[in-house]
Amino acid sequence: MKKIAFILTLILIATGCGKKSKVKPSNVTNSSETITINDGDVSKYNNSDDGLDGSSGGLKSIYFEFGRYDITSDMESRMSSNVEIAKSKSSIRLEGNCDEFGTDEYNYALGLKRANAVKQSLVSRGISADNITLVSLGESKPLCTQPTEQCYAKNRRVDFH
Amino acid sequence: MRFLIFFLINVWLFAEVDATIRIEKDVDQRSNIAIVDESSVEPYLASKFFKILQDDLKITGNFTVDSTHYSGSSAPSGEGKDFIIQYNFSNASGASLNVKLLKGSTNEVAFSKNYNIGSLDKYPFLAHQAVSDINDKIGYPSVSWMNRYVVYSRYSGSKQSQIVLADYTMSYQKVMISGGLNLFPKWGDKEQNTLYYTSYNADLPTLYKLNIYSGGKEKIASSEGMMVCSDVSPDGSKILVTMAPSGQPDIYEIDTQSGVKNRLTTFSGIDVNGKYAEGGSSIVYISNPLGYANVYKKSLFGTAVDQIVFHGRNNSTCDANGNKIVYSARESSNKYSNNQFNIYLASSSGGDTRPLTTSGINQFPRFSNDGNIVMYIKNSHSIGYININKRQTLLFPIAGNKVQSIDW
Repeated sequence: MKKIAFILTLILIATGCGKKSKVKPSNVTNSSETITINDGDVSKYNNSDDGLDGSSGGLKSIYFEFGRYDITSDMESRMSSNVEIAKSKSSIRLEGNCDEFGTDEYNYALGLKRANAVKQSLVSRGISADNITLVSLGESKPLCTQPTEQCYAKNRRVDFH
Repeated sequence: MRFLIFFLINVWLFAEVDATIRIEKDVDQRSNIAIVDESSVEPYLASKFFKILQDDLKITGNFTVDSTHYSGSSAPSGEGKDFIIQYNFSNASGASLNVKLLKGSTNEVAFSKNYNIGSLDKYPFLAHQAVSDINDKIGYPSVSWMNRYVVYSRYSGSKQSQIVLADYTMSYQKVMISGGLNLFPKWGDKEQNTLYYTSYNADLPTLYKLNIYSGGKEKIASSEGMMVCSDVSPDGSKILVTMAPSGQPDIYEIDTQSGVKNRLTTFSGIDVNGKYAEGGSSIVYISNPLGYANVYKKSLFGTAVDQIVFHGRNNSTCDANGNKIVYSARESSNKYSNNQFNIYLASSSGGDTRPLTTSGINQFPRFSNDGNIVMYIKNSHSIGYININKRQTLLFPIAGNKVQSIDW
């Protein structure tokens, strides 16, 4: 039993006790730390407040599935929260982002379609389209650069500013 | 029946072998050649220069190259050799090169020329020019493409990138544009005097045209969302761009003299990567009407749209040259790791499909200006070249960060 406890302790130390720290892309090398989510359920970590959200001013980023630009139902609470804050803002800039798995132009178009989907949702909830600007940043602004599915999912997002 | 046809097409497609491992029995048409180095530069530089000469000769597909790095004192006899190259490379006052081509049977000088370049960093271009000239002298089809600059953008940090000028082997590299996010470089003319690129450093993505010699730049257009110059017409008078003035990425043609924009695509999904094809009478481009990226074609004089690729899980980038297209196809359904992306060559009407690679992640296919060579990025860390007629390939490492876009 002691052996098992000792091994578990070593595993926890080796994996940083599961703590998620802020990741600066420029500092990331080939770390041996990998966190893999096998079921592909993005909502598990998209809704967690782990400090890796790319938005500002209390607004929350909206996350997307691989290769898609439709807003999923599990993003509803984030959209609702954002709408309340957006009503008091004179301008909102939406930045579409992608993971690294597309190629040049297509990835930037995918980021733009994501930003536009969020814009249409905001407009349908009463935010003036005139107050919203869009830009796609493609894969140029990753929040996370670890080669894990969890990390890739954090980069498929629209940030609010 | 439809399934049977699809099955037979796939059997035919994948029965083909990777161009990298398929060696045609055309060796009789190749010249046996040896290289004799009579230079007195330091060994490291001598070795690099010899390697570039050797690679230049190989990728032409016209030579069987003796791999021995001969020096003047160990020069081979002409027996069994069609030609011998003797050269003297110097790094005094920039870089200079004296090259002689000797006939193997008689040692007669068939060609002799001196080359100079002001900057030592650019010495790879001496080798490229010499091999291009030797190739012409013997009477093989031109390989002048190897004298051209490659331009590419690479990420250097979050929302940071650089635009880099290079020779085709990446032995010479010079950062041209840095600071902020500058992407999608595209040569603006055949002579490679000007360059289109997109700056993301203002409120709106903005397309500029830069003269790489004078440094002068001209604003062409800007658009909310995204703005990319995808292709330039052969005479440089028109460009194909992807832009999104109302949040919708579509392909437009811009007259570079008048500035008049003509919207070419109207699909509500994604339309990008427009390339002039078939003498400029049509464009091939990437669209996703079936829910995934694939290659389509549209006449510039009509409205009909044709799907021209019918395999691959995601074909998100393509290039065109005359009646040929190349594209990168994701072969498996894995979203991430263990995925394969292969490059395919096909006719612009969709037939004659042939795989050019068979393993790894092969993306960003680009034709040379003569359409005989396909450049691509392999596994993010190498740049590859495929001589599609000679079935000869070469790979060179790319130092540094991830390539964002590339042109030559």
